[in-house]
Amino acid sequence: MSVQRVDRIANPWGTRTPVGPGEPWPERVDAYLVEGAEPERWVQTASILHSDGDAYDVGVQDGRIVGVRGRGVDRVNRGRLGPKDVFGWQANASDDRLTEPLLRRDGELRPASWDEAMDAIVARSRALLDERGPGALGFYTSGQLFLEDYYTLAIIARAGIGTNHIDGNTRLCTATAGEALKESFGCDGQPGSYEDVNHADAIALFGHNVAETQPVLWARMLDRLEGPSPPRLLVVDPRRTLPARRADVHLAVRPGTNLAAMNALLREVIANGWIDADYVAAHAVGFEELRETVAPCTPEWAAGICDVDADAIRAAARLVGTAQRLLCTVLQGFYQSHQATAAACQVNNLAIVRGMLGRPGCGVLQMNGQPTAQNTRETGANGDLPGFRNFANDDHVADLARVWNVDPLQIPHYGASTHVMQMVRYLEQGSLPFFWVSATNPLVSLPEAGRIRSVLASGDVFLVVQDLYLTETARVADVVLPAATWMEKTGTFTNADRTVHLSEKAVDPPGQARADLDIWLDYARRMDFRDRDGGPLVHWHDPESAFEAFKACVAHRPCSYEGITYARLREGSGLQWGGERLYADGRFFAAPDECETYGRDLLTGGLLDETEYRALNPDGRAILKAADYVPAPEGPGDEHPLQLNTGRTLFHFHTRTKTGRAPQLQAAAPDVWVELAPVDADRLGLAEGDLAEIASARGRIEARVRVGGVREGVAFVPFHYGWWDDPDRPSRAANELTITAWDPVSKQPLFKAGAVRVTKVADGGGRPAPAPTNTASAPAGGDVPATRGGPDAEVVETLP
Amino acid sequence: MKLDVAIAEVRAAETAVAGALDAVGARHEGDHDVFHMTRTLRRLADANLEALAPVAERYGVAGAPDPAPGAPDGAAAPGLELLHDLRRLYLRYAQASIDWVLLGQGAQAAKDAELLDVVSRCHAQTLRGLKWTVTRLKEAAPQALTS
Repeated sequence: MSVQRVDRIANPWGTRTPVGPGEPWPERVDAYLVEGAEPERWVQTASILHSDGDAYDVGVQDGRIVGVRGRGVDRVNRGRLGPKDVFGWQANASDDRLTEPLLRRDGELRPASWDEAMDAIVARSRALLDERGPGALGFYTSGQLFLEDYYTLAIIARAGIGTNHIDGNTRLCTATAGEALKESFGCDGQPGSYEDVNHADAIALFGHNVAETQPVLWARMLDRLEGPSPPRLLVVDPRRTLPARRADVHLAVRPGTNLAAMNALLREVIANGWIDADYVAAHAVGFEELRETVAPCTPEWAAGICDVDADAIRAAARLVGTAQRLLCTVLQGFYQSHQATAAACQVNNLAIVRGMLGRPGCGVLQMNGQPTAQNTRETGANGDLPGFRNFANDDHVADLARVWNVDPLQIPHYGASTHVMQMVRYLEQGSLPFFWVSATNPLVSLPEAGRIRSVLASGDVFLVVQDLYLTETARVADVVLPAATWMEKTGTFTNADRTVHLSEKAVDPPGQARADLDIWLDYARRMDFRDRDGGPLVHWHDPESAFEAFKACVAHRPCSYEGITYARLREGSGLQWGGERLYADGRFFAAPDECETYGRDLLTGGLLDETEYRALNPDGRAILKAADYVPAPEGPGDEHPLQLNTGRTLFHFHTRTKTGRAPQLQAAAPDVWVELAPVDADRLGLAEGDLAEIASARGRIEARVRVGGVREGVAFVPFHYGWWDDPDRPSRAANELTITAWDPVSKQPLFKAGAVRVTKVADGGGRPAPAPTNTASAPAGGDVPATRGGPDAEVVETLP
Repeated sequence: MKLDVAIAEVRAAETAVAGALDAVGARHEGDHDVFHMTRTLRRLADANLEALAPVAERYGVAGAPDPAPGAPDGAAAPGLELLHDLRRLYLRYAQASIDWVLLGQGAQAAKDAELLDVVSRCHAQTLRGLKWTVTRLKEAAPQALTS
């Protein structure tokens, strides 16, 4: 055993523990304590600032959090922590936490009691229900609350109010993952497991910058890459990410052309006979349609559209086509791009035609962006009915009505739930005058920020915001509810490979802040929601009883949590629902009576009906769905010659509400920047650190230039930066530029689309852009000081 | 042989679809998904017209009219306006769809394999537009009719 101190801002992935194929991943326990701290106790939790689900304990001393320590026993991280796990918790103790409710009076937000705030919400809810009906109320939640919170919100909205307007900001991060799984396998549910990294002989990352989105998962991949018999690596990404630098084949496709690249990959795999014909014959439908659709998609055809080398496409096809154990992962590069669901489904198709499912090393991970995104999908807080039920299947709705003891007609099921971008339209048109936002910041995170501001700050909408801080969105609210956060409340959440973790309350929330669950239980009580027999609709009273109520709701459903209890999670560590891998026996939750959806046309989102689905897939097999590539809605032109690509950096999460308040993370990426390829920077007369204006048809921002590894013709802007910590400066939000458009199937907005113009504003004078140097934003050259954390960023690593 | 009549009918119906798509797109830019999808579907309608051109020539059908955006009548509340215009689009698609069915029947009877192939490929695209229109109408109706 060896112990060492590592600057984990400078080296975010920590020390390597190389591992060979099929070997268990060694423990490496990371720990960080503030100087001189001696925790009295350690309290169990997991990551709340990304979707990896790293398990750790939080040290508590004198009622305050003083540090963190990875859980070596946990299957997800085996003790490792990413930089946001190590440093993010400090934001909890920020002195600008909300500590009392605020109510808008005479145009100003003023302190109010909980009774006054809740009475205002209840009075407005009741009045609107009486005058205009349930369609006047909408709820927009998060990807960072707990399962218990979401489930409670789902029953309140769907059965208490009876509105179809409920969505999560998971619409922005994980909607396509869920939708692609539903389209291909009939039902949501992550097929693969992180363990597949340890077994794979080829890993393909599709629009997945894993080094920054799930750093500990990348550490697992790095340990394979640096161990004996490493896997081959394919990366499809317009940026030269760290995985791209390690890849055997990197396809830096033009944004908006993923489907063209995927169709060409599938064409090559099929044309070369690299398919498992027996598996396809036994377990899939739709092969002929897929084959016909991709047949014309030659590497040369795709090369022209994607602007990559045709031979590189052939090499990529060979890599995935000849692997014995292929693991495919997908994230925002596909999900937030044009034809998102269609492209993500082609990754599923690749796994299906190659028979790469349900065995060690053979899997698909349609990743999530946020820590608890998976739970919005399971509980019905994101657009799907709870328990992966099918809104178009009357038996599923009747079963949900039985669980909730309400009339089936009370639960809207005349269509998919209203996605957030459609809710914005209803807000804009005045038909949705009540909007309750919890733990998210739409003013900064939704596309076309100028439009969102004009809608939400118009004064025409009764806006409730439930949050930790006075976010940009909270500032324009009518009621602000101070919420407790992670470690100040108890609950469970589930990561991207179906691992459920318990997060226990460790300290008290500040002032009068309350747990989200308690806020909604209070609302349900005050609204007096009743079931069919006159009993309380929401009959639970604390996190554990909410968890058990959810379990009863999903019993006998594919995402059954049977056997998972608070006690077991407390005794051990993370537990997967559904076992290590789904679909091990080539059986799917896709039978017509069982499936979560009858499916949609991938090009238009047009819904298939039950009869069509029964004809297509009577035996419940996997569905090989195909679609033709069509060009993205706004391509580059004379006025706006570059393509916009927005995204994240390793050191921040969403709109920086937490990471901007954690000193080490904030210092590592303190301000917005724009990333250009050297050839584009030269053409525009821009050098590292110059101040530039980035303008689209919708808005403009200013940012310093990083001459880096993004592909030619593309301007990358990180989306984390709003104006809460710099209110006097013009907005620097990437969403000032983005287009209002979304995928027709998953309704996920296209954050990686649209055209911009970049022009010089001022010389940088030798000062570099405020962008990290050890991530995808690494400088292309020159003399840029390396990103460092210093002594305050040193983590103690205990190695085997 | 009156297949030329059926081809002219289909072409007129697809042209009307194209015009209706333009009209819906122009009137509903604020319903961004509708706006963008009418552009995509317009490409499909154009492709159908293009596929029809050689068979139309072979059967001696005269040149097709330009798709003139139909001037939709009646302005109403925002949600109702969308229902109204999508309903018109639905009817255009339905007209085109049944015309494809009729032409397909004729093509089979005439044992014209090339024409039959055009019909089956194009009709699938018309049905796709029809399906999207129904889906979007069903999505829009609850809020439009109860708000």
